[in-house]
Amino acid sequence: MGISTLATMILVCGSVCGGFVWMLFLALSQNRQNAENEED
Amino acid sequence: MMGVAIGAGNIWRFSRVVAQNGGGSFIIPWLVFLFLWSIPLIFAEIAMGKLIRRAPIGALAKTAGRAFGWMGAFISLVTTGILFYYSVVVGWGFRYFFFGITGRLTASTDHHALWEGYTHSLQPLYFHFAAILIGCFIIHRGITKGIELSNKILVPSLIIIILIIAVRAVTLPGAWQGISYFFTPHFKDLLNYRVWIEALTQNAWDTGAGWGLLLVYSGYIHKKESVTINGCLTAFGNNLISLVMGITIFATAFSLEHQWGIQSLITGEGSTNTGLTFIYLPKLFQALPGGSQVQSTFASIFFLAFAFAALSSMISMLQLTSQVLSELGLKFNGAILLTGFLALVLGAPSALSMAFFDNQDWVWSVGLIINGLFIAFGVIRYGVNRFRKEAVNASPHDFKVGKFYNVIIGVLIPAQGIILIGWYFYQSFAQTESGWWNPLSIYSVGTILFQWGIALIVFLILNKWMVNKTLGTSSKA
Repeated sequence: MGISTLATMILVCGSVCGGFVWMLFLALSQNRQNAENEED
Repeated sequence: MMGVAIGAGNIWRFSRVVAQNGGGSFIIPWLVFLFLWSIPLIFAEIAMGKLIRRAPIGALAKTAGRAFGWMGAFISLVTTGILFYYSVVVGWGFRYFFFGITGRLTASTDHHALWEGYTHSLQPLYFHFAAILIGCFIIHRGITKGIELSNKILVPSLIIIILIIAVRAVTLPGAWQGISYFFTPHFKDLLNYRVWIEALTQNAWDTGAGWGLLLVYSGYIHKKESVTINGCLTAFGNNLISLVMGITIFATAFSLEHQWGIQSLITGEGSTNTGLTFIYLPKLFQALPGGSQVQSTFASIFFLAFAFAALSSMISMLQLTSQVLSELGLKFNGAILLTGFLALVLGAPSALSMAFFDNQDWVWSVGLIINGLFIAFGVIRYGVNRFRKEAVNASPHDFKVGKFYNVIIGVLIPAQGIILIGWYFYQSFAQTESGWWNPLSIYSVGTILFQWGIALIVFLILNKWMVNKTLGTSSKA
Protein backbone atom coordinates (compact mmCIF):
# COMPACT_ATOMS: atom_id res chain seq x y z
CA MET A 1 0.00 0.00 0.00
CA GLY A 2 1.44 3.34 -1.07
CA ILE A 3 1.93 6.36 1.14
CA SER A 4 -0.76 8.33 -0.76
CA THR A 5 -3.31 5.55 -0.14
CA LEU A 6 -2.48 5.49 3.56
CA ALA A 7 -2.61 9.29 3.79
CA THR A 8 -6.03 9.40 2.05
CA MET A 9 -7.35 6.66 4.32
CA ILE A 10 -6.21 8.49 7.45
CA LEU A 11 -7.52 11.84 6.18
CA VAL A 12 -10.96 10.62 5.09
CA CYS A 13 -11.65 8.00 7.77
CA GLY A 14 -10.06 10.18 10.46
CA SER A 15 -12.19 13.18 9.56
CA VAL A 16 -15.49 11.34 9.15
CA CYS A 17 -15.13 8.79 11.99
CA GLY A 18 -13.34 11.27 14.26
CA GLY A 19 -15.94 13.93 13.58
CA PHE A 20 -18.78 11.52 14.28
CA VAL A 21 -17.32 10.21 17.56
CA TRP A 22 -16.45 13.72 18.73
CA MET A 23 -19.97 15.00 17.99
CA LEU A 24 -21.49 11.95 19.69
CA PHE A 25 -19.45 12.75 22.79
CA LEU A 26 -20.54 16.42 22.68
CA ALA A 27 -24.19 15.41 22.18
CA LEU A 28 -24.10 13.08 25.19
CA SER A 29 -22.45 15.78 27.33
CA GLN A 30 -25.07 18.27 26.22
CA ASN A 31 -27.91 15.91 27.07
CA ARG A 32 -26.42 15.39 30.53
CA GLN A 33 -26.07 19.15 31.07
CA ASN A 34 -29.63 19.80 29.93
CA ALA A 35 -30.91 17.08 32.28
CA GLU A 36 -28.93 18.55 35.22
CA ASN A 37 -30.26 22.06 34.48
CA GLU A 38 -33.84 20.77 34.41
CA GLU A 39 -33.32 19.08 37.79
CA ASP A 40 -32.00 22.38 39.25
CA MET B 1 -32.28 13.31 12.17
CA MET B 2 -29.91 10.63 10.97
CA GLY B 3 -32.94 8.75 9.68
CA VAL B 4 -33.60 11.66 7.32
CA ALA B 5 -30.07 11.83 5.98
CA ILE B 6 -29.32 8.12 5.59
CA GLY B 7 -31.13 6.90 2.51
CA ALA B 8 -30.78 4.91 -0.66
CA GLY B 9 -28.13 7.34 -1.97
CA ASN B 10 -25.60 6.08 0.59
CA ILE B 11 -26.05 2.53 -0.63
CA TRP B 12 -26.79 2.62 -4.32
CA ARG B 13 -25.09 5.75 -5.58
CA PHE B 14 -21.93 6.44 -3.57
CA SER B 15 -19.90 3.35 -4.51
CA ARG B 16 -20.47 3.52 -8.24
CA VAL B 17 -19.74 7.27 -8.33
CA VAL B 18 -16.48 6.62 -6.44
CA ALA B 19 -15.55 3.92 -8.96
CA GLN B 20 -16.43 6.13 -11.94
CA ASN B 21 -14.38 9.07 -10.63
CA GLY B 22 -11.09 7.50 -9.71
CA GLY B 23 -11.52 5.98 -6.23
CA GLY B 24 -9.48 7.96 -3.70
CA SER B 25 -9.37 10.94 -6.08
CA PHE B 26 -13.12 11.29 -5.59
CA ILE B 27 -13.40 10.92 -1.84
CA ILE B 28 -11.00 13.81 -1.14
CA PRO B 29 -13.23 16.46 -2.83
CA TRP B 30 -16.26 14.60 -1.45
CA LEU B 31 -14.87 15.30 2.03
CA VAL B 32 -14.17 18.95 1.14
CA PHE B 33 -17.78 19.52 0.05
CA LEU B 34 -19.08 17.99 3.26
CA PHE B 35 -17.72 21.14 4.91
CA LEU B 36 -18.48 23.61 2.11
CA TRP B 37 -22.03 22.54 1.15
CA SER B 38 -23.68 19.95 3.38
CA ILE B 39 -22.79 21.00 6.93
CA PRO B 40 -23.44 24.76 6.43
CA LEU B 41 -26.82 24.04 4.81
CA ILE B 42 -27.77 21.52 7.48
CA PHE B 43 -26.96 24.17 10.13
CA ALA B 44 -29.13 26.64 8.21
CA GLU B 45 -32.07 24.22 7.99
CA ILE B 46 -31.97 23.19 11.65
CA ALA B 47 -31.52 26.79 12.83
CA MET B 48 -34.32 28.04 10.56
CA GLY B 49 -36.66 25.27 11.73
CA LYS B 50 -35.97 26.04 15.40
CA LEU B 51 -36.29 29.80 14.87
CA ILE B 52 -39.49 29.89 12.77
CA ARG B 53 -41.15 26.54 13.70
CA ARG B 54 -42.97 26.34 10.40
CA ALA B 55 -42.68 24.20 7.24
CA PRO B 56 -40.69 25.69 4.31
CA ILE B 57 -43.38 28.16 3.11
CA GLY B 58 -43.58 29.87 6.50
CA ALA B 59 -39.83 29.59 7.09
CA LEU B 60 -38.92 31.30 3.79
CA ALA B 61 -41.67 33.92 4.17
CA LYS B 62 -40.34 34.79 7.65
CA THR B 63 -36.65 34.86 6.75
CA ALA B 64 -36.64 36.15 3.16
CA GLY B 65 -39.87 38.16 3.32
CA ARG B 66 -43.55 37.48 2.61
CA ALA B 67 -43.00 37.98 -1.10
CA PHE B 68 -40.81 34.85 -1.12
CA GLY B 69 -43.12 32.23 0.37
CA TRP B 70 -43.27 30.66 -3.10
CA MET B 71 -39.65 29.61 -2.62
CA GLY B 72 -40.72 27.52 0.37
CA ALA B 73 -43.53 26.04 -1.71
CA PHE B 74 -40.99 25.07 -4.38
CA ILE B 75 -38.74 23.45 -1.75
CA SER B 76 -41.76 21.47 -0.53
CA LEU B 77 -42.74 20.49 -4.07
CA VAL B 78 -39.25 19.21 -4.91
CA THR B 79 -39.23 16.96 -1.84
CA THR B 80 -42.81 15.87 -2.53
CA GLY B 81 -41.84 15.11 -6.14
CA ILE B 82 -39.05 12.91 -4.80
CA LEU B 83 -41.48 11.25 -2.35
CA PHE B 84 -43.69 10.19 -5.27
CA TYR B 85 -41.00 7.95 -6.75
CA TYR B 86 -39.00 7.28 -3.57
CA SER B 87 -41.82 5.14 -2.22
CA VAL B 88 -41.27 2.96 -5.30
CA VAL B 89 -37.62 2.53 -4.26
CA VAL B 90 -38.72 1.52 -0.75
CA GLY B 91 -41.00 -1.06 -2.38
CA TRP B 92 -38.16 -2.42 -4.52
CA GLY B 93 -36.07 -2.86 -1.36
CA PHE B 94 -38.79 -4.83 0.44
CA ARG B 95 -39.54 -6.95 -2.65
CA TYR B 96 -35.89 -7.92 -3.01
CA PHE B 97 -35.73 -8.67 0.71
CA PHE B 98 -38.53 -11.19 0.13
CA PHE B 99 -36.71 -12.51 -2.96
CA GLY B 100 -33.73 -12.99 -0.63
CA ILE B 101 -35.46 -14.84 2.19
CA THR B 102 -37.33 -17.13 -0.18
CA GLY B 103 -34.02 -18.07 -1.84
CA ARG B 104 -35.17 -16.85 -5.26
CA LEU B 105 -32.39 -14.30 -5.48
CA THR B 106 -29.55 -16.75 -4.99
CA ALA B 107 -31.27 -19.44 -7.12
CA SER B 108 -31.63 -17.10 -10.10
CA THR B 109 -29.23 -17.59 -13.01
CA ASP B 110 -30.17 -14.34 -14.74
CA HIS B 111 -30.53 -11.35 -12.41
CA HIS B 112 -31.06 -8.99 -15.30
CA ALA B 113 -34.12 -10.99 -16.37
CA LEU B 114 -35.35 -11.16 -12.76
CA TRP B 115 -35.14 -7.36 -12.47
CA GLU B 116 -36.73 -6.75 -15.87
CA GLY B 117 -39.51 -9.23 -15.14
CA TYR B 118 -40.21 -7.58 -11.80
CA THR B 119 -40.20 -3.97 -13.05
CA HIS B 120 -42.42 -4.87 -16.01
CA SER B 121 -45.03 -6.49 -13.77
CA LEU B 122 -47.62 -4.92 -11.46
CA GLN B 123 -45.66 -5.91 -8.36
CA PRO B 124 -43.80 -2.58 -8.00
CA LEU B 125 -47.21 -0.91 -7.80
CA TYR B 126 -48.35 -3.15 -4.93
CA PHE B 127 -45.13 -2.60 -3.00
CA HIS B 128 -45.33 1.16 -3.66
CA PHE B 129 -48.84 1.11 -2.14
CA ALA B 130 -47.60 -0.86 0.85
CA ALA B 131 -44.69 1.55 1.41
CA ILE B 132 -47.02 4.56 1.38
CA LEU B 133 -49.47 2.88 3.76
CA ILE B 134 -46.70 2.00 6.23
CA GLY B 135 -45.33 5.57 6.03
CA CYS B 136 -48.77 7.16 6.55
CA PHE B 137 -49.49 4.86 9.49
CA ILE B 138 -46.22 5.89 11.14
CA ILE B 139 -46.75 9.65 10.78
CA HIS B 140 -50.40 9.28 11.82
CA ARG B 141 -49.11 7.97 15.19
CA GLY B 142 -47.38 11.33 15.73
CA ILE B 143 -43.84 12.59 16.25
CA THR B 144 -42.99 10.66 19.45
CA LYS B 145 -44.93 7.41 18.99
CA GLY B 146 -44.57 7.33 15.23
CA ILE B 147 -41.53 9.02 13.73
CA GLU B 148 -39.16 8.92 16.74
CA LEU B 149 -40.08 5.35 17.62
CA SER B 150 -39.73 4.10 14.03
CA ASN B 151 -36.36 5.83 13.66
CA LYS B 152 -35.22 4.36 17.00
CA ILE B 153 -35.87 0.95 15.44
CA LEU B 154 -34.90 1.59 11.80
CA VAL B 155 -31.62 3.51 12.22
CA PRO B 156 -29.88 1.22 14.79
CA SER B 157 -31.11 -1.87 12.87
CA LEU B 158 -29.72 -0.40 9.67
CA ILE B 159 -26.34 0.34 11.29
CA ILE B 160 -26.09 -3.15 12.81
CA ILE B 161 -26.97 -4.80 9.48
CA ILE B 162 -24.48 -2.65 7.57
CA LEU B 163 -21.74 -3.51 10.08
CA ILE B 164 -22.51 -7.26 9.77
CA ILE B 165 -22.23 -7.05 5.97
CA ALA B 166 -19.08 -4.91 6.22
CA VAL B 167 -17.35 -7.42 8.52
CA ARG B 168 -18.17 -10.24 6.07
CA ALA B 169 -16.90 -8.16 3.14
CA VAL B 170 -13.56 -7.12 4.62
CA THR B 171 -12.81 -10.68 5.78
CA LEU B 172 -13.16 -12.11 2.25
CA PRO B 173 -9.90 -13.21 0.62
CA GLY B 174 -8.39 -10.38 -1.44
CA ALA B 175 -10.73 -7.78 0.06
CA TRP B 176 -7.82 -5.56 1.01
CA GLN B 177 -7.04 -4.91 -2.67
CA GLY B 178 -10.51 -3.44 -3.13
CA ILE B 179 -10.16 -1.28 -0.02
CA SER B 180 -6.76 -0.13 -1.24
CA TYR B 181 -8.28 0.80 -4.64
CA PHE B 182 -11.07 2.69 -2.85
CA PHE B 183 -8.55 4.90 -1.03
CA THR B 184 -5.87 5.32 -3.70
CA PRO B 185 -5.88 8.82 -5.20
CA HIS B 186 -4.71 9.55 -8.73
CA PHE B 187 -3.50 13.12 -8.73
CA LYS B 188 -4.39 13.76 -12.37
CA ASP B 189 -8.03 13.02 -11.46
CA LEU B 190 -7.84 15.59 -8.69
CA LEU B 191 -7.17 18.21 -11.38
CA ASN B 192 -10.27 17.11 -13.30
CA TYR B 193 -13.18 19.50 -12.67
CA ARG B 194 -15.72 16.72 -13.39
CA VAL B 195 -14.52 14.81 -10.32
CA TRP B 196 -15.13 17.89 -8.17
CA ILE B 197 -18.59 18.46 -9.67
CA GLU B 198 -19.55 14.81 -9.08
CA ALA B 199 -18.23 15.04 -5.50
CA LEU B 200 -20.34 18.13 -4.81
CA THR B 201 -23.39 16.48 -6.39
CA GLN B 202 -22.99 13.33 -4.29
CA ASN B 203 -22.62 15.31 -1.08
CA ALA B 204 -25.57 17.55 -1.90
CA TRP B 205 -27.85 14.61 -2.67
CA ASP B 206 -26.99 12.10 0.00
CA THR B 207 -26.77 14.20 3.18
CA GLY B 208 -30.31 15.55 2.90
CA ALA B 209 -29.05 19.15 2.94
CA GLY B 210 -31.55 21.43 1.24
CA TRP B 211 -34.43 18.96 1.20
CA GLY B 212 -36.36 20.95 3.83
CA LEU B 213 -36.77 17.77 5.89
CA LEU B 214 -34.42 18.77 8.70
CA LEU B 215 -36.14 22.16 8.73
CA VAL B 216 -39.47 20.49 9.46
CA TYR B 217 -38.11 18.08 12.10
CA SER B 218 -36.26 20.94 13.83
CA GLY B 219 -39.56 22.70 14.37
CA TYR B 220 -40.37 20.05 16.97
CA ILE B 221 -37.12 20.03 18.97
CA HIS B 222 -36.62 21.79 22.30
CA LYS B 223 -35.19 25.33 22.14
CA LYS B 224 -32.16 24.18 24.15
CA GLU B 225 -31.37 21.40 21.65
CA SER B 226 -28.21 22.00 19.69
CA VAL B 227 -27.96 23.17 16.10
CA THR B 228 -24.29 22.65 15.40
CA ILE B 229 -23.77 19.38 17.29
CA ASN B 230 -26.94 17.80 15.85
CA GLY B 231 -26.06 19.11 12.40
CA CYS B 232 -22.52 17.71 12.46
CA LEU B 233 -23.72 14.42 13.94
CA THR B 234 -26.20 14.04 11.09
CA ALA B 235 -23.68 14.95 8.39
CA PHE B 236 -20.79 12.87 9.74
CA GLY B 237 -23.09 9.92 10.52
CA ASN B 238 -24.47 9.97 7.00
CA ASN B 239 -21.04 10.11 5.38
CA LEU B 240 -19.75 7.40 7.71
CA ILE B 241 -22.49 5.08 6.44
CA SER B 242 -21.50 5.96 2.84
CA LEU B 243 -17.86 5.15 3.60
CA VAL B 244 -18.71 1.81 5.22
CA MET B 245 -20.93 0.87 2.27
CA GLY B 246 -18.22 1.94 -0.17
CA ILE B 247 -15.60 -0.18 1.59
CA THR B 248 -18.06 -3.10 1.69
CA ILE B 249 -18.91 -2.98 -2.02
CA PHE B 250 -15.32 -2.41 -3.20
CA ALA B 251 -13.99 -5.19 -0.96
CA THR B 252 -16.66 -7.63 -2.15
CA ALA B 253 -16.35 -6.68 -5.82
CA PHE B 254 -12.58 -6.97 -5.82
CA SER B 255 -12.54 -10.17 -3.80
CA LEU B 256 -15.11 -12.04 -5.88
CA GLU B 257 -14.45 -10.63 -9.35
CA HIS B 258 -10.99 -9.03 -9.06
CA GLN B 259 -10.52 -5.99 -11.30
CA TRP B 260 -13.63 -6.92 -13.31
CA GLY B 261 -15.67 -6.11 -10.25
CA ILE B 262 -14.57 -2.49 -10.33
CA GLN B 263 -14.98 -2.38 -14.12
CA SER B 264 -18.62 -3.47 -13.69
CA LEU B 265 -19.18 -0.44 -11.46
CA ILE B 266 -17.57 1.92 -13.98
CA THR B 267 -19.07 0.82 -17.30
CA GLY B 268 -20.90 -2.47 -16.75
CA GLU B 269 -24.16 -3.52 -15.20
CA GLY B 270 -23.23 -1.86 -11.89
CA SER B 271 -22.86 1.57 -13.52
CA THR B 272 -26.41 2.71 -12.69
CA ASN B 273 -28.14 2.91 -9.31
CA THR B 274 -30.65 0.20 -10.09
CA GLY B 275 -28.14 -1.93 -12.00
CA LEU B 276 -25.70 -1.88 -9.10
CA THR B 277 -28.29 -2.71 -6.46
CA PHE B 278 -30.62 -5.13 -8.18
CA ILE B 279 -28.45 -6.85 -10.79
CA TYR B 280 -24.77 -6.59 -9.89
CA LEU B 281 -24.93 -7.01 -6.09
CA PRO B 282 -27.22 -10.09 -6.21
CA LYS B 283 -24.61 -11.68 -8.50
CA LEU B 284 -21.94 -10.90 -5.92
CA PHE B 285 -24.05 -12.39 -3.11
CA GLN B 286 -24.40 -15.51 -5.22
CA ALA B 287 -20.62 -15.79 -5.38
CA LEU B 288 -20.15 -15.61 -1.60
CA PRO B 289 -18.49 -18.70 -0.11
CA GLY B 290 -20.50 -20.83 2.34
CA GLY B 291 -23.42 -22.15 0.29
CA SER B 292 -26.89 -20.94 -0.60
CA GLN B 293 -28.08 -20.47 3.00
CA VAL B 294 -25.27 -18.01 3.72
CA GLN B 295 -25.76 -16.28 0.38
CA SER B 296 -29.52 -15.88 0.97
CA THR B 297 -28.94 -14.58 4.49
CA PHE B 298 -26.53 -11.86 3.39
CA ALA B 299 -28.67 -10.93 0.37
CA SER B 300 -31.77 -10.66 2.58
CA ILE B 301 -30.20 -8.53 5.27
CA PHE B 302 -28.62 -6.25 2.67
CA PHE B 303 -31.99 -5.53 1.06
CA LEU B 304 -33.61 -5.13 4.47
CA ALA B 305 -30.98 -2.46 5.25
CA PHE B 306 -31.65 -0.83 1.88
CA ALA B 307 -35.42 -0.79 2.52
CA PHE B 308 -34.96 0.57 6.07
CA ALA B 309 -32.65 3.36 4.86
CA ALA B 310 -35.12 4.38 2.16
CA LEU B 311 -38.15 4.05 4.48
CA SER B 312 -36.69 6.29 7.20
CA SER B 313 -36.13 9.04 4.60
CA MET B 314 -39.54 8.50 3.00
CA ILE B 315 -41.30 8.95 6.36
CA SER B 316 -39.74 12.42 6.72
CA MET B 317 -40.90 13.34 3.20
CA LEU B 318 -44.48 12.31 4.04
CA GLN B 319 -44.24 14.36 7.23
CA LEU B 320 -43.05 17.44 5.30
CA THR B 321 -45.87 17.32 2.74
CA SER B 322 -48.50 16.63 5.40
CA GLN B 323 -47.24 19.51 7.51
CA VAL B 324 -47.27 21.93 4.56
CA LEU B 325 -50.88 20.95 3.76
CA SER B 326 -51.81 21.22 7.43
CA GLU B 327 -50.32 24.74 7.67
CA LEU B 328 -52.33 25.64 4.56
CA GLY B 329 -55.53 24.89 6.46
CA LEU B 330 -56.19 21.13 6.48
CA LYS B 331 -56.53 19.16 9.70
CA PHE B 332 -53.37 17.08 10.20
CA ASN B 333 -55.10 13.71 9.71
CA GLY B 334 -56.76 15.03 6.58
CA ALA B 335 -53.37 16.28 5.38
CA ILE B 336 -51.88 12.80 5.92
CA LEU B 337 -54.75 11.23 3.99
CA LEU B 338 -54.38 13.68 1.10
CA THR B 339 -50.58 13.25 1.02
CA GLY B 340 -50.96 9.47 1.01
CA PHE B 341 -53.59 9.60 -1.72
CA LEU B 342 -51.48 11.92 -3.91
CA ALA B 343 -48.40 9.75 -3.36
CA LEU B 344 -50.35 6.59 -4.27
CA VAL B 345 -51.74 8.10 -7.46
CA LEU B 346 -48.85 10.29 -8.66
CA GLY B 347 -46.22 7.70 -7.69
CA ALA B 348 -47.99 4.95 -9.66
CA PRO B 349 -46.51 5.96 -13.07
CA SER B 350 -42.99 5.68 -11.60
CA ALA B 351 -43.86 2.22 -10.27
CA LEU B 352 -45.00 1.11 -13.72
CA SER B 353 -42.49 2.80 -16.02
CA MET B 354 -38.73 3.07 -15.55
CA ALA B 355 -38.62 5.91 -18.12
CA PHE B 356 -41.08 7.93 -16.02
CA PHE B 357 -39.12 7.08 -12.86
CA ASP B 358 -35.85 8.25 -14.46
CA ASN B 359 -37.47 11.49 -15.65
CA GLN B 360 -38.80 12.31 -12.18
CA ASP B 361 -35.46 11.44 -10.60
CA TRP B 362 -33.71 13.85 -13.01
CA VAL B 363 -36.19 16.73 -12.61
CA TRP B 364 -36.45 16.73 -8.81
CA SER B 365 -32.85 15.75 -8.02
CA VAL B 366 -31.65 18.84 -9.89
CA GLY B 367 -34.36 20.74 -7.99
CA LEU B 368 -32.60 19.88 -4.72
CA ILE B 369 -29.75 22.19 -5.68
CA ILE B 370 -32.28 25.01 -6.20
CA ASN B 371 -33.64 24.15 -2.73
CA GLY B 372 -30.17 24.69 -1.26
CA LEU B 373 -29.94 28.04 -3.07
CA PHE B 374 -33.36 29.13 -1.77
CA ILE B 375 -32.45 28.26 1.82
CA ALA B 376 -29.19 30.24 1.47
CA PHE B 377 -31.25 33.10 -0.05
CA GLY B 378 -33.53 33.08 3.01
CA VAL B 379 -30.51 33.32 5.31
CA ILE B 380 -28.96 36.10 3.21
CA ARG B 381 -32.19 38.15 3.22
CA TYR B 382 -32.51 37.66 6.99
CA GLY B 383 -28.90 38.81 7.39
CA VAL B 384 -26.23 36.12 7.49
CA ASN B 385 -24.46 37.52 10.56
CA ARG B 386 -27.76 38.07 12.40
CA PHE B 387 -28.90 34.56 11.49
CA ARG B 388 -25.61 33.08 12.72
CA LYS B 389 -25.91 34.91 16.07
CA GLU B 390 -29.67 34.56 16.65
CA ALA B 391 -30.33 31.11 15.20
CA VAL B 392 -27.18 29.01 14.61
CA ASN B 393 -25.35 30.02 17.80
CA ALA B 394 -28.46 30.32 19.98
CA SER B 395 -28.23 27.06 21.95
CA PRO B 396 -26.43 27.45 25.29
CA HIS B 397 -24.35 24.26 25.23
CA ASP B 398 -23.58 24.19 21.50
CA PHE B 399 -20.18 24.84 19.94
CA LYS B 400 -20.25 28.23 18.27
CA VAL B 401 -19.74 28.89 14.58
CA GLY B 402 -17.37 31.70 13.57
CA LYS B 403 -17.66 34.42 10.94
CA PHE B 404 -16.40 32.11 8.20
CA TYR B 405 -19.98 30.76 8.16
CA ASN B 406 -21.11 34.11 6.73
CA VAL B 407 -18.77 33.66 3.76
CA ILE B 408 -19.82 30.05 3.15
CA ILE B 409 -23.58 30.76 3.17
CA GLY B 410 -23.35 34.21 1.59
CA VAL B 411 -20.87 33.45 -1.17
CA LEU B 412 -19.73 29.84 -1.50
CA ILE B 413 -23.13 28.06 -1.36
CA PRO B 414 -24.66 30.34 -4.05
CA ALA B 415 -21.54 29.97 -6.20
CA GLN B 416 -21.52 26.15 -5.88
CA GLY B 417 -25.25 25.91 -6.60
CA ILE B 418 -25.06 28.12 -9.71
CA ILE B 419 -22.03 26.18 -11.03
CA LEU B 420 -23.84 22.86 -10.50
CA ILE B 421 -27.07 23.93 -12.20
CA GLY B 422 -25.05 25.43 -15.07
CA TRP B 423 -23.10 22.19 -15.41
CA TYR B 424 -26.22 19.98 -15.47
CA PHE B 425 -27.84 22.17 -18.10
CA TYR B 426 -24.65 22.34 -20.19
CA GLN B 427 -24.38 18.54 -20.15
CA SER B 428 -28.02 18.17 -21.09
CA PHE B 429 -27.66 20.68 -23.98
CA ALA B 430 -24.79 18.61 -25.32
CA GLN B 431 -26.12 15.10 -24.75
CA THR B 432 -29.89 15.01 -25.18
CA GLU B 433 -30.39 13.39 -28.57
CA SER B 434 -34.07 14.28 -28.93
CA GLY B 435 -33.40 17.99 -28.34
CA TRP B 436 -32.55 19.87 -25.15
CA TRP B 437 -35.86 21.77 -25.35
CA ASN B 438 -38.07 18.66 -25.60
CA PRO B 439 -40.30 18.46 -22.47
CA LEU B 440 -41.05 14.79 -23.24
CA SER B 441 -37.39 13.77 -23.29
CA ILE B 442 -36.30 12.00 -20.08
CA TYR B 443 -33.11 13.97 -19.37
CA SER B 444 -33.61 17.28 -21.19
CA VAL B 445 -33.43 20.84 -19.89
CA GLY B 446 -36.87 21.30 -21.45
CA THR B 447 -38.53 18.73 -19.20
CA ILE B 448 -37.04 20.42 -16.13
CA LEU B 449 -38.05 23.93 -17.20
CA PHE B 450 -41.54 22.71 -18.17
CA GLN B 451 -42.25 20.99 -14.84
CA TRP B 452 -40.58 23.62 -12.68
CA GLY B 453 -42.18 26.38 -14.76
CA ILE B 454 -45.75 25.19 -14.20
CA ALA B 455 -45.08 24.85 -10.47
CA LEU B 456 -43.44 28.27 -10.17
CA ILE B 457 -46.26 30.04 -12.02
CA VAL B 458 -48.86 28.43 -9.73
CA PHE B 459 -46.85 29.24 -6.59
CA LEU B 460 -46.25 32.86 -7.62
CA ILE B 461 -49.99 33.32 -8.22
CA LEU B 462 -50.86 31.68 -4.89
CA ASN B 463 -48.00 33.26 -2.91
CA LYS B 464 -50.07 35.75 -0.91
CA TRP B 465 -52.73 33.18 -0.06
CA MET B 466 -50.16 30.55 1.00
CA VAL B 467 -48.23 32.99 3.20
CA ASN B 468 -51.40 34.36 4.82
CA LYS B 469 -52.61 30.83 5.55
CA THR B 470 -49.26 29.78 6.99
CA LEU B 471 -48.29 32.86 8.99
CA GLY B 472 -51.60 34.71 9.34
CA THR B 473 -52.39 38.06 7.77
CA SER B 474 -51.10 40.25 10.61
CA SER B 475 -47.68 38.63 10.93
CA LYS B 476 -44.79 40.79 9.79
CA ALA B 477 -41.88 39.23 7.92
